[in-house]
Amino acid sequence: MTDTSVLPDTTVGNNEPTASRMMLTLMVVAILGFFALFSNIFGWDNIPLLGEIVPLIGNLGGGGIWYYLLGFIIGIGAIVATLVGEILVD
Amino acid sequence: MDVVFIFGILLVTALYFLSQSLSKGIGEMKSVLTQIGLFILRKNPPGLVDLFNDDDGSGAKTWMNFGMLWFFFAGIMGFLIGWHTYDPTALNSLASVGWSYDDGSALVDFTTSALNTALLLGLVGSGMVVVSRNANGRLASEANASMVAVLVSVLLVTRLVLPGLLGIFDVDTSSDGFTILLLSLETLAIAALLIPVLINLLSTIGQSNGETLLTGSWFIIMAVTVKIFGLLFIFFGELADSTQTVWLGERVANGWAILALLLGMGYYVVPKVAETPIWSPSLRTASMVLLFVTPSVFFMTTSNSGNFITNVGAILLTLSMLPLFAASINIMMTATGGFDKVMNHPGALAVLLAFFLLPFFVVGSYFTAMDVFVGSGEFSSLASVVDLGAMFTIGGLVLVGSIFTTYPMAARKALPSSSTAHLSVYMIFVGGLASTIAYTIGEFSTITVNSMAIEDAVADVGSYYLTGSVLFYILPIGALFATLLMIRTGISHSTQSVSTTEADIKSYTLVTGSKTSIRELIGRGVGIDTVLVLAEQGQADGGTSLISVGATLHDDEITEIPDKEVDYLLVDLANHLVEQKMSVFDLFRQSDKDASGSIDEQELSDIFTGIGHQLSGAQTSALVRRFDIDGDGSINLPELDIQIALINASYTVSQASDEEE
Repeated sequence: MTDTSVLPDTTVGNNEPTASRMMLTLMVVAILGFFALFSNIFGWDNIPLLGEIVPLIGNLGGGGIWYYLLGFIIGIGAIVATLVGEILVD
Repeated sequence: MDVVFIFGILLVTALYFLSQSLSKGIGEMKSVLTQIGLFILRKNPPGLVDLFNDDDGSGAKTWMNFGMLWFFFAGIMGFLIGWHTYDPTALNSLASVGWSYDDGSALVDFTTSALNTALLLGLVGSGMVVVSRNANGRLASEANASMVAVLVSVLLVTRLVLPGLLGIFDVDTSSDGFTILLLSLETLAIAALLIPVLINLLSTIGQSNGETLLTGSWFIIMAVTVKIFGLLFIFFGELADSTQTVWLGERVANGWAILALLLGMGYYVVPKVAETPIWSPSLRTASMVLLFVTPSVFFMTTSNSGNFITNVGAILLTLSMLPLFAASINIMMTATGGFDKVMNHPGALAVLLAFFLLPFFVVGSYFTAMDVFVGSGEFSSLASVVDLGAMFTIGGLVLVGSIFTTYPMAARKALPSSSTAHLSVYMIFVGGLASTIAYTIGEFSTITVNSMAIEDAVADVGSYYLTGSVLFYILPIGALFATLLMIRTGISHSTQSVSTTEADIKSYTLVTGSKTSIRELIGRGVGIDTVLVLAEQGQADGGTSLISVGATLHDDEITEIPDKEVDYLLVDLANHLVEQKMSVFDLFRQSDKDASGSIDEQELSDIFTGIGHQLSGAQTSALVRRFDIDGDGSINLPELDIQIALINASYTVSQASDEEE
């Protein structure tokens, strides 16, 4: 039987599991989601709208949906950038 | 007899003959039809098909690329559906660029079209890899497949932008006649485009050397076939104003075809990754047969027929849950055979999660479908929510699962990041499931509020849709990650190549008189570690046994050395000890050259080389298995002693020699 008295008080592994990064990302996404959801349901009084932050799109970003659409726009940009980037690298 | 029964019986009969031809072959006609198919695919249409790449796997990759892009696009539209139900004025600031929002039906149609196209392209693309691995590692014409994938996407884009373009020229695009005309032309065009795909798949199978048809390949070919039939039924039904024919066509094209694709990939991915045969052949057969004789619970439309047809339809609708339950249980139980492998593989994990959720969606969809089909239709909006939720969640999971599994095989490269792939799978799972629950509660509340005639001001259920759309947002972001991974896998030369040394199968039997190439063998999953067994015609049964692994990559042939052959080798070894007057201990000490305390495969092989037997790798492994009681892969002294004692007790020298002679 293992003698537990010889074990150190704290043991830390050397290998970082890849799943931990995934869990961290999921937690960050979940927290942002809850934050956005809370703000949405109880109005956007405390969070400025996109149109208020960026004056040039004042007329366009006049709703909470534009924060989400911004994510899609960045996503589409990421697809194009990946395509272009990988082709240029090759 | 009603039209729906006549066409239904004809279709099932045609599918039966196709299935029989696939499993039992068509004799001498096979090579003739394959040559005709190859001619059609490689030469038509002249000029256009030559523009596309014909490298191995390029056709399947094109289908999967478009499939994932359309899925991401459908996800964006799905998010907008939820948000606009909460706030129809959300995007009014885009009115200057042509955006208009009425009751949301156009957005739902748009999303459904994009999602169906995404699943069709992505899953058929993955299916192409499965079918080609069932033959010689490539489609009959990769270029033709790529061409069709591009044309299907061009067709969908045209269908989506055409009303807007015609609106500029003051053409009335809102009339029912225009909508039906557009829909009919779209269905006919897609059916026409899928015919060369079916020819491509059949010609690919025709080029195989009689390998057992995988369950996955069977489902994929049947799916493409029923999709063509279903679309033709819709087109000619509209043309002849036959509502029953259109109804049947919708069940076949939107139900059977998509479900067959989902089941086909489920039966392929999980057994392959778990390295386990399909759990139950009976459940597999039940899911294969019952799927194509019952109407699907998903995307059900109302019945305007008499009582008899309606009652028969309701009974069949209830039975239609059986094949999906059977497939779900079968795939989950198969996964338990290699649970760790499945959990560590993002593709298999996605498929497992999908088939875990499938029964819940099926039951939910069953109740709403029955209400739509034979009830008051009060829950038709709820049915739409459940159906779309099922296709986004289950369809999305199977789609990314199939792509994470088959895309690297087609590209011959590994996925660049397993953790990102896992992340995208969990995001699609959480986003799809959570949003469906939120939308369902919201829709149910709306129906309740409406039926109780409560004032809108008192009962505000908009927050459910807002919550649902925010939760749904996670799904397209997961799809985005999956799309980026797929692109990086496909086009980058910097990602790690899958080495051809990796073997999908342990042993492959080459029969003398036949011919093949290294390229063909690699296409079938043979790597440099695969044991190639040379056998005369009809001799293969003596030294090998064919273990059909059902929907795994292909038949996994494991070389098994007959027990008697092992016995003869051991008798020779025992004789050698007697002749040399050696003890077992002496033999062990002499053979354990690295003084590790055990004899490994190489050392065992050297022992037998010393007594005049040159062992193959398979023979050595079989001998080690015979000795190895504790399963550590090597032979210690007691294990060697026990086997020599057993062989001395069972055989005498003269007996063994006589039998050998």
